[in-house]
Amino acid sequence: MSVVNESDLHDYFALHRQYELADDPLLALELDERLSQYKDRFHKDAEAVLGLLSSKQSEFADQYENTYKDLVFDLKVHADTIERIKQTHRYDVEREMWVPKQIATGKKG
Amino acid sequence: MKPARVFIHGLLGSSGGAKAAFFRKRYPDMIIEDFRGLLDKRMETLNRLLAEKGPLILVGSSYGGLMASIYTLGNPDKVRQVILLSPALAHREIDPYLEERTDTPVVIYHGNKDDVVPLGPVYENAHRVFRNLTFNTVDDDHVLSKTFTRIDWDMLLER
Repeated sequence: MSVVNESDLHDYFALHRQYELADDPLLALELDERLSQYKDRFHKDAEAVLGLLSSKQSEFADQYENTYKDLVFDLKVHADTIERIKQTHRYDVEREMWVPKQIATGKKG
Repeated sequence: MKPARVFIHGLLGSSGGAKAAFFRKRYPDMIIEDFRGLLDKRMETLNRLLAEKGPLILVGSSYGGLMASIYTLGNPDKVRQVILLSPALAHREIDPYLEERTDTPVVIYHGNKDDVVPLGPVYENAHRVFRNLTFNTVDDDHVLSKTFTRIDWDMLLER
């Protein structure tokens, strides 16, 4: 079950609108940091968030237009990147990073 | 001739974001523009913006790091130095450029806790393309919140 819900997305878009309208650089910075926290959460659950955005497309796209498109694009790129990495790499727990999968060279028997 | 300094924000970033604000305050002459849309449109904006400018020092964050890399590979004589922050060099869009090489000096900061653009593939692709590379793996996340302000920007941007 996704940890991101519809309310989070509404909050994100509303925050983004505030951010775009902010004249005060300090306020813009603060809003930027809060937006980053949302983005981190969305990235951790990109496929589920994309599903949620898709299911509410008419509502969100009407209200938030470019911000909606940008977020969908960002999450698609992220999900695609992670999927590609999983095909060619494995996560090395000790090194705490993705490393290329070993190519099997040995013969059985 | 003093190089023009340019900051290129990430996919969901803007010229009003935290990193842009930091650079604008510290280096008022830094070129900081908004980029929207897909990669082609963003690169078109960047190419237009820098058409009459040079030499250049490029700073690219995340997707902006991918853009700075592509620009440098296409304009190696114009770019004097590149600083990449959590560059999106694991994205599919870098694939057409992986056979290219450049001797332009490149400095990368990438967090070992980056969940957005994982470290491993970025490390591999960066070493493949950039011959003159300083790769700094830092204890940080994608935003580089602990690292960003500790970087010696004066040293990197005053070349």
